[in-house]
Amino acid sequence: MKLLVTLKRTPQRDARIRIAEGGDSLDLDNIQFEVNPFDELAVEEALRIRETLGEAEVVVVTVGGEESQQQLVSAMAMGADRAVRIDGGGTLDSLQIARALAAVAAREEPDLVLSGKLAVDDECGQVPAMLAGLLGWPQANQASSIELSADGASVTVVCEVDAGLETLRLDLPALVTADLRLNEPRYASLPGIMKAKKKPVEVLAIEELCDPGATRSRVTGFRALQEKPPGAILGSVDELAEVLVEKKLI
Amino acid sequence: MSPLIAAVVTREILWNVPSWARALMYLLFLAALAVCVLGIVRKVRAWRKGRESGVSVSAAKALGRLWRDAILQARIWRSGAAGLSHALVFWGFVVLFIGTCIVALEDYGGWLLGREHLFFTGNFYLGVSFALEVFGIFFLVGLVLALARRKAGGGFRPLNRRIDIALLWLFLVIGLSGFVTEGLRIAAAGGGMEEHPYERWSFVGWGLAVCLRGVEPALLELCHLAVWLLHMVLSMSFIALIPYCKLRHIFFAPLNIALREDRKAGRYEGVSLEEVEETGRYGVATKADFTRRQLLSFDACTECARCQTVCPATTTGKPLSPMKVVLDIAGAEASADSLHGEEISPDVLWACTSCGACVEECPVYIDQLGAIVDLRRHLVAEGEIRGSAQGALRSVGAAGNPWGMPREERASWSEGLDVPTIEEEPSPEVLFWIGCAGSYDRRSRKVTEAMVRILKAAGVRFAILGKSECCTGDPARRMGDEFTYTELAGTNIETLSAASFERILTTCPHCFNAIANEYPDLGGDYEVVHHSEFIEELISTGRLELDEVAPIRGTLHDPCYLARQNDVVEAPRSALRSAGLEVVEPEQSGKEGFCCGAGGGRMWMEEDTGERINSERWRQLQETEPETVAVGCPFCMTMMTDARDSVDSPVEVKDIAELVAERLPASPS
Repeated sequence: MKLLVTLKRTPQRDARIRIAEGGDSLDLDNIQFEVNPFDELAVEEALRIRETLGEAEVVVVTVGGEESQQQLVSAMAMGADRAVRIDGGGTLDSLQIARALAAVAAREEPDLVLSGKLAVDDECGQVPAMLAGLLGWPQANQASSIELSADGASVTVVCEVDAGLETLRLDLPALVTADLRLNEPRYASLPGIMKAKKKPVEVLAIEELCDPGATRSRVTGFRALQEKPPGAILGSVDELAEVLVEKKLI
Repeated sequence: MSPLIAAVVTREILWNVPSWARALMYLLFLAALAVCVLGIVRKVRAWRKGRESGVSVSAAKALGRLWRDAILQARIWRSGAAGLSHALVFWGFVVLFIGTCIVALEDYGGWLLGREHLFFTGNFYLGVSFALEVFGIFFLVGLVLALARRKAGGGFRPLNRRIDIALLWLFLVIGLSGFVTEGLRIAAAGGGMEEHPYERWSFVGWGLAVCLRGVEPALLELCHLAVWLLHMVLSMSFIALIPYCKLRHIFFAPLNIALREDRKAGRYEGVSLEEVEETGRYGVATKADFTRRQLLSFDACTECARCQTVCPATTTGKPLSPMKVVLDIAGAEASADSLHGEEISPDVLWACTSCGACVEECPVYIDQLGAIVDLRRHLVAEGEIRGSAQGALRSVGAAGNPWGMPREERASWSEGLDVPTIEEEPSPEVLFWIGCAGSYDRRSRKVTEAMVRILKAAGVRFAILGKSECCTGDPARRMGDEFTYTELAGTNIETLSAASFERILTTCPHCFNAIANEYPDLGGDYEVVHHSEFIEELISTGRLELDEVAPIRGTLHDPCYLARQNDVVEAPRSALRSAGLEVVEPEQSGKEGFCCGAGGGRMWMEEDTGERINSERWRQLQETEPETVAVGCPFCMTMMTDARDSVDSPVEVKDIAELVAERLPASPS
């Protein structure tokens, strides 16, 4: 069985992001990056499926520049077998990225594609859906549990929907996106990090793979949220009532 | 009987023992010796499967250690009655053993040289006889004391299993039967007591013999043979038993005491990353991953349970017992695939606060903490570190602090305080190492600010690293992540080595320990001082003057990484007294202090089993009825404050620096 996990390089989850002067880009100079946390859940799930099966190949793929090599290594340090990097700049939109990934999926012919439900930087969450659409595969989103059938021909996925849980069965090949409760990712181990350095990373130019088409959506500007005035700790309920009256809130 | 016996002051060796019984004795002895040697050989073979250990110990040093910790029993004495009881049994045993050797030498030597007597005659005979009586009594008294302690019962110690009681009785019967054999011999041998009045020197045997006056000699001889047989058979069983139960410490404890590695408990053994890359192995999975010296040390365990009695995890109902970890390792088959499992589970290993109380307490110098860290490293190697602990490790690696706060905000606390960075004050007297808690934690920032006021009041030229400071790597290292530790330490050593300063000052004992004890292993040699020592120095050299105030009653909670791991005990007390605190000592203090519960990465883990360690410590401290609890560590600060708040106590928790800063004279303006 082959499992393909898509991942994205995103700013470290606790990082405080500032807007660069001029407002048309972000100041990412002193920011650390990591594997998008939801994609990390997808990697962990692929590794767990491999552990249950005893044998399977886990391939990780990303679209990005030289700098995203580090995130592929992180995923391989967790245990992924090899990596593919589609060399591409930051101006690609979701559909172009999905087309590139679809081309890789067509080459690799995985039984299951796993992705994070969204990337924590822009929170678009479009790429997995577009990818499944381009491949013509069934998809299940926001999975909190994924179970492979005994014959290996389908997966049963529990999805977290607004009203509760929805259980879907998908015929393979299929695409599933990971939600927070799917698992708890392992810590990239020291021997894992050492081994990862020796694992193969294939770098492909996007044009070699497919025609990504034109860029149809682009970021035109950023604006920060207005800072909230600081709160105050009051001594008593009476004081609170006074303040509320004063501010004409009651 | 030979008429000469009465003429020469001695005794007939193996009197009344017929040749069949002698033959039985030699047969049993050979069998017991074989069983014993086989047991030892098996142990030694198991050790040899371990990794080669590093540095060797000089003979002089080894002998010095043996004198102090084996002969004088220095560490064992620390726990009163148990120390007395063990010392009596030990010294009794040693002298009785020497006595047996003298008798054997006399017997075989005489036979070999064809002489009737060698040296076991006259005054020497009488002296030895007398000494054996005295030490025989020591032996018995020690055993009775040990049995009485077990009868009285207690918390975790002494252990009161069947085997513990059985071994004590075995010794007791061996000792008693020895005296009875002697009494019967004195009563019956060589024509009765009147013929050898000098046997009075064997006063216990003589006393017994007096009681037996008038009993038929034939009956005495029969009883003598029977009791001698019992004494002999039990002694031989004891020899055979040694390597197969806790008695093995008789051999291995002195060996471990002599050969142990001289390393502070706070300075961990490093790991070669090249070796990890080569072998793909990291941490301890199987017995063979330990060093030979470690494997020897586990077999030295006396099962005295002192370690688990002082362990903050064991005593608050966590699944960890340092003794059990040691015994589980020692008892595991060398061929076992993994030591990890139900007994040595992740919950057991993660429960350790790395406080080092077990290491400090162990009378035979086993490094339980080192073993736990080695085993933790394997968990990290397997990615078996989850939840908030994993989050802290990731943050330490990514943001340079365990809370994942932005790097750019590391020096935000200093805004408006006129604190120079190393760029602004390039050659300061002290480089003030703030630490992650001191930089980001709201409560600890107050301590940092108090320290700044003190430095300014004393006119100390100081500087901070500002944004280029990052976590020392202490939490990563305690949690078993050498990779992250090495990276962080490397970054810091690079930063520190590029700067020029006389000393590093830190308010965090964990930072102190890492920089002072562990950075030298990576090439970073700096003089580091904890703020309690530095304040004390400023006061005693007259650089810092404090207002006189009416003393308030307070107590000090010693940080493990300051008092126990680094012997800084007096300085904080002295500084507190200068700040007007009447320091009342809790029962467990100084090097024997009880952990707050936050060390070893526990700061970032849930504590959901048993009592909370910080609450237990708070309870202990409240026995001193303090108005103020003084701390000297940001972790202790968090833990003690939380414990205080959970019981809504009005008692203050303050750092030494804050208490001192409160006594600074008001500025002349």
